[in-house]
Amino acid sequence: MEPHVSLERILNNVQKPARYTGGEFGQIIKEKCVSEVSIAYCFPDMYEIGMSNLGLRIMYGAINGIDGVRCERVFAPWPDMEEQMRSHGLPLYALESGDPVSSFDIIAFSLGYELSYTCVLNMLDLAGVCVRSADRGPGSPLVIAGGVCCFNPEPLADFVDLFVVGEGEDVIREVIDAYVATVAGGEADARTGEDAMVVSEDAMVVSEVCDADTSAEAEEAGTSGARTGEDAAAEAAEAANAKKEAFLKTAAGIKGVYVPTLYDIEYNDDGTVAAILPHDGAALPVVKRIVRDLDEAFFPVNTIVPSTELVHDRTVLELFRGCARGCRFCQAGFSGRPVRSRSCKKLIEQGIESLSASGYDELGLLSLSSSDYAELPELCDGLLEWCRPRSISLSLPSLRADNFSMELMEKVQSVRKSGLTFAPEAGTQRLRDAINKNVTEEELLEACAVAFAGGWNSVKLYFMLGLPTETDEDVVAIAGIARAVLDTWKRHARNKSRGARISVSTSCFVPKPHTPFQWEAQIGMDEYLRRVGLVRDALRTKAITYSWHSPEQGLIEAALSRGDRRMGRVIEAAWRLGARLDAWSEFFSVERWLDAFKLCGLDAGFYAQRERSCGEVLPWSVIDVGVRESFLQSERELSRRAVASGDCREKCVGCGACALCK
Amino acid sequence: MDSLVRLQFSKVGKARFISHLDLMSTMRRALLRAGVSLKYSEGFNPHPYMSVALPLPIGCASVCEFMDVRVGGVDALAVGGGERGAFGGGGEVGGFVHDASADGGGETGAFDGGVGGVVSGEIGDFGGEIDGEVGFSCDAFVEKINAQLPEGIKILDIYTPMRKLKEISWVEIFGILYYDKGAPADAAAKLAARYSERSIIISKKTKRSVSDLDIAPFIRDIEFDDADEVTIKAKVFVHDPTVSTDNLLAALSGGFAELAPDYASFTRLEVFDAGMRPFR
Repeated sequence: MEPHVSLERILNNVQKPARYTGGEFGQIIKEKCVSEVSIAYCFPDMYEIGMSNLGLRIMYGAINGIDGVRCERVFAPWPDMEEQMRSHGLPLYALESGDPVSSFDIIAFSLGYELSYTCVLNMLDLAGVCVRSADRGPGSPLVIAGGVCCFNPEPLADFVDLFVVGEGEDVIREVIDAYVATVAGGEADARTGEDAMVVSEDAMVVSEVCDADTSAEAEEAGTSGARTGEDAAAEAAEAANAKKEAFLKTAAGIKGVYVPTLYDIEYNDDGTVAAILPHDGAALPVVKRIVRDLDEAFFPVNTIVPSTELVHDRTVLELFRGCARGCRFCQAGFSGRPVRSRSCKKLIEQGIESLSASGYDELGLLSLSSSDYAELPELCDGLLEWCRPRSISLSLPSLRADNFSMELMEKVQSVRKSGLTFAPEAGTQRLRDAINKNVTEEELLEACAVAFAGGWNSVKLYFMLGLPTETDEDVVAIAGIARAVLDTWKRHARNKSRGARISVSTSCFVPKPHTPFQWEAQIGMDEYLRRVGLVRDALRTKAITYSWHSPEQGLIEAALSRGDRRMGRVIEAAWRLGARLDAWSEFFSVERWLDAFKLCGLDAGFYAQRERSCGEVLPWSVIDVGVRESFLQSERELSRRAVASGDCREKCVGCGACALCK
Repeated sequence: MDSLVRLQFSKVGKARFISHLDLMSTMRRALLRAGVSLKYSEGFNPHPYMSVALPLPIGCASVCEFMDVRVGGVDALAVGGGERGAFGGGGEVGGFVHDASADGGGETGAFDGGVGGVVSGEIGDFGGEIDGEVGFSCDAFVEKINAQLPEGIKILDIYTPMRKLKEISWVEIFGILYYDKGAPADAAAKLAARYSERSIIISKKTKRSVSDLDIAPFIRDIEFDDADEVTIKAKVFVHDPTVSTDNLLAALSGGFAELAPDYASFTRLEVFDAGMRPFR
């Protein structure tokens, strides 16, 4: 049977097959050549999640913009597709060419969420690539990773050859240059016999959907073909290994690159890290990379327009990176520093250009806190002038209650009206000051009053439970805020006939590396549920709906995000026990994870629920995000005294991140 | 200034797996990118007026699909400078549809003669004069939209519809039948014998129940071939009751299981009205 018929047949047996075909408008097909470097850009979740990710679109465009480099997309299959792929021997393939992932030079993972770690292993396995770096022989692709999870790369240190820390647009070029110079240099000779065969096989299967047996056949051909004899093969393997090692050492010299094999970790008897010991000249710490000037940075205005529905089906603009607010629980707020904005003029240009190039009817204005963008009114006016006559609506996620303007909301929602969401995060002013949220109840109620008077009847309120220093009083106050919002609606609503829809949602706080709360303990699952009970009991009114996230995923996320290198064993064990798409609650099993911890002789509570002492060597201290540890400590002290430190645009708080721009 | 236009298009290859709902948004975005301004509904959540005749099942290919779209004209802002001439040089090109309707009848007539097979999609210039300036070419317009479509979807023709989509009564389909253990001996002859029976009872699922249906009266011109691979070509009724390709293959159960393929791949070739004339 022809390979493409076999894929066609598989696709007829799975849900939403369009996510497995590629062929969308705007995909980049690059001609293959022998001297190219090919990169399989893997997103460890479903197509509709990954294609909604701006980071993926930026990197895909930026990498394909490099001459001689071909970058293709790979997503995780849904379990029905995985079952079909495994039973029919179809290896994981890239969407553009249909080539097996194992035939690429480099496999690059985008890591945005700790619960996708088992999916990384599963994708490598589906690709027929050994999950552990140490087991990957010559001819196996290089495995690299980037994304926000790399601010603590240690849990994946056993599986990833090289991490890119920080914003990847510039670093990836340097990594590829180093790869070309050390591994791909001199091509045919540099690669093993098997690889050379794979390349020529590739040329024949261009544009064909992948063939399960390509690499296996190629390997056979390679060993029985041109290079006969075990000695020659062993020699080639040794040479390939030496080249890979040389590459990793060279790459470790690139700013923002972390090569885990160049560091030894020593542990204390109590399980904490005793020392991080770099060798072969590797840097300690590895300082994250940033793009200094966003106006000059690559932005994908001509991007892929999927032929199937995404979770965020819209064109997006990136207003700025970083955040000046300094909410103490927020990893992105610290690891993304310093703030760098795009100019209003540039954004309007990019907005019009990318809307024209995509045909979407919605434009999302993204950033960590969009209402903090200084020229937001001008930006909205400029965009709406073009968008309104074309029935294109703007969406502004990440609004803050303290600078919410009705004028702005009315403008933005003049085409289509959506709901309003605010995130006060905590119930009392004391706790909001402790987390440096800098939003008062008055500001929130004022914003709601304006919105209700403007015709809105629905508001969503997000809170966290288990924040450091939280008391029962803080927890119960969440219900108080929700009731105050309801009272505000009763006083201000323009049309009360339809009733108010106020929803409150809580999730379990996960302490993250590189934040002032990185030393804090997460509350236990039972304690979280007790606090949920307090909110629920205090919220006995029909007009307010309350939903809460289960604490189970939060526990494992907390353990993974502050894990050390030994966590790799747990991730592998959980994957072998069947963990796949842990980010999807329907496939997540906390029991499976706890079993995995037990198998490895480790304890999830040690990582999630243990308060670290100030002198402890934190596993992620191998990475420097630009924010001084002493600053994080002083922020933690302020938090304990419930003192807010304010917005760094008004007064520099001295975090140190601006030095990254120099 | 809005008008209804009909797009005839093919949906093959990777595009076979685009669902009906996704096809609507895919087409909408492609038209917008091509500079066509769509007519939106009024109200809380404006949406364009678009409808597709006989949504294809996922996985099925077609070279004869139809979509009606209400358009407001061509967006002069979105049409690139160099090509502007082709669309009448700026401003709303509402006239394009208007002028086209005059030619529309003739074009439809021209297709009445053609029977079966793939329609070439070739059509002359509409020759519409806009503001007394350059007229624009339909070919150029089709090309413009095609440049915006994903792999596997191609506009074959665009014109002002003279007939309603619901007049489509019959669909001609072509299928390749795959047998994992090799095709049964004399497959074509045996299949032909089965489908030439006077009555072919299958069980057909509706939303509420499963009932028996005799599909024999709703199949015409059925042919089989087994020279290279086993193929089927037939016209099936699609207007209450609809005979799907699944229904067609359901005839190969029970005593005919030997003939039931392990997998079948279908393509829609042509659509017909109740009088068996190709519909346009």
